[in-house]
Amino acid sequence: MLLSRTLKEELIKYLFFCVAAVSIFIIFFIFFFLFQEALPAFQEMGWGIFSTKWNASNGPYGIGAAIFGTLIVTLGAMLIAIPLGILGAIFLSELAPHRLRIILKPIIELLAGVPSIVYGFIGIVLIVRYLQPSFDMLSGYSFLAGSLILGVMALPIIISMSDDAMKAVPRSYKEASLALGATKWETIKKVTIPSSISGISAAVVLGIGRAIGETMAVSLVLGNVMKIPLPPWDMFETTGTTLTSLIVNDMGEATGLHVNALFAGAVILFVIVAIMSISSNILQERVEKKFRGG
Amino acid sequence: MNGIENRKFGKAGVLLIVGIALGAVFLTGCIGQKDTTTISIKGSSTVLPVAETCAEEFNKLHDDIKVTVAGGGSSLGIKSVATGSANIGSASREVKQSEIDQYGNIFVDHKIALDGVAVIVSKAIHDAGVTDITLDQLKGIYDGSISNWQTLGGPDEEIFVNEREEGSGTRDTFMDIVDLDETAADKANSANSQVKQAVGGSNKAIGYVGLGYVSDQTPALKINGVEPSAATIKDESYPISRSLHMYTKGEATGAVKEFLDFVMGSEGQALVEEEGFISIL
Repeated sequence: MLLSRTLKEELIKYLFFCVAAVSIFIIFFIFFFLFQEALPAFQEMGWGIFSTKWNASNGPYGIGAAIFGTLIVTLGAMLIAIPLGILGAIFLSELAPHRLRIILKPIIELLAGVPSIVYGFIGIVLIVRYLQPSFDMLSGYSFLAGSLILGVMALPIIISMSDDAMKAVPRSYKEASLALGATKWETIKKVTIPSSISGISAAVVLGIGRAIGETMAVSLVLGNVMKIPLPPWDMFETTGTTLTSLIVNDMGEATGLHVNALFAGAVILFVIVAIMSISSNILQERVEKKFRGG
Repeated sequence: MNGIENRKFGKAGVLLIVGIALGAVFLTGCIGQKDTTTISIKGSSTVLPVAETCAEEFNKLHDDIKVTVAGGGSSLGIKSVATGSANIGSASREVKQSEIDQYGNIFVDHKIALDGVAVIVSKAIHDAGVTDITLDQLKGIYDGSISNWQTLGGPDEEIFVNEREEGSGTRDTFMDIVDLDETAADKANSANSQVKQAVGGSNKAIGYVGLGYVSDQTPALKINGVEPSAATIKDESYPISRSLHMYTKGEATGAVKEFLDFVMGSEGQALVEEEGFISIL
């Protein structure tokens, strides 16, 4: 109204700046709060925080078993999701006829929108019950069940991002290869995949990041006992928990140093996921740089 | 352009006036109730549903007292009442010696209901003839020295041992009465419903839950020959039972006393039974 155009322009700029700053502040506060709450546990336990000596009511609070569980469940999930995801992406981007592709891609992306509790529910009523008699296990609750669910949950990210990466490989590359007499498979193997490898890696890393942080679905299908199974690589053992599962199960009843120990678990999780997320970004930037030039 | 801006201002203006009006109504509402005494209850998630329904009914009957309820666990309830952040701390266990050492002997106990911890097994195990167990056998199963159902006359299957997570009042009661410090359980569950799910979905599982969670798929075992039921818990012949408590710091007075009398009276106890617990009357 009475405001000059430039002043209005400035005001709007600052308004938007403030709004953008809010999210940065929120991240900062989360970061600060997490570390502040975790600090007593690190001070009290020292390196012992990585041990597997855990007693929820009186200490010590070594969360090694949960860290181990997180790593092994994620590893299992990746063994399932990486081959399925990359092969799926190759099919989707290079081999599927256009009509199939426009149906498949949204459906795969829809998988990412399924709430994690739904995966957990399916895990409990189907996977857990099916696993026990199939593998003659003590119970279906196991790292294996967790890995299966997480693997499926990581799939849409890996497929979708890898597909994008392969689609970003310039057409001329593939055409040049085909013109030289290479078959479709040779082109995929020697041109498309090598050119989009950083994009595919970014997809995998982001998929791992998601899997590590997933809580609800995993916590429902694990044994949730703070012990490393014997032998440790026994994916069929019921015993075992992950960092996320430990936090969600213990938070309600925890007091004192126990709470701090849970926050320490959250800090470790936060650091792992942050590293994953940042490296995924770096990898993706590399793809963009590569093709902008060529 | 001027017209549009004016219209926008008009809209905003209307919203503003409505907002102020609502705010004023809200504020006068608050000021009008300045005589209200607030009672806060914090603590056990087991006691939570009882505390909530009782608070709801009590609030309906009293304009001058408002009872608010929050969960957080028995330990938090005891801590809250000791530090004064709640008027009443609810707990599904007795105050521990360590808590008395920490906060002093300030707790006054009000038993508001009884609850039994039932030991449930998979239907296949019950059908195979394991229907009775002793406390010693239970101890053996949970400390890992008994690991096959054959020991109890059941099928040749490993025992899938379910427990509750540390901090759970149900767990505390069970561990205390069965006399265990640590367990060799296979699965820790963070709710009664999870135990029921794990035991019901297996053919060789054992677990313990609140009495209300016994079902056809998860039948309860007799302990030393006694079936868990309201009657056997009341007459104390069923061994694994507990009282639900509301603790106050010193003797309850005024509004807090009024509320506790309501809970322990016939109206409150009817609500206790409605929530699946056993009346103290």
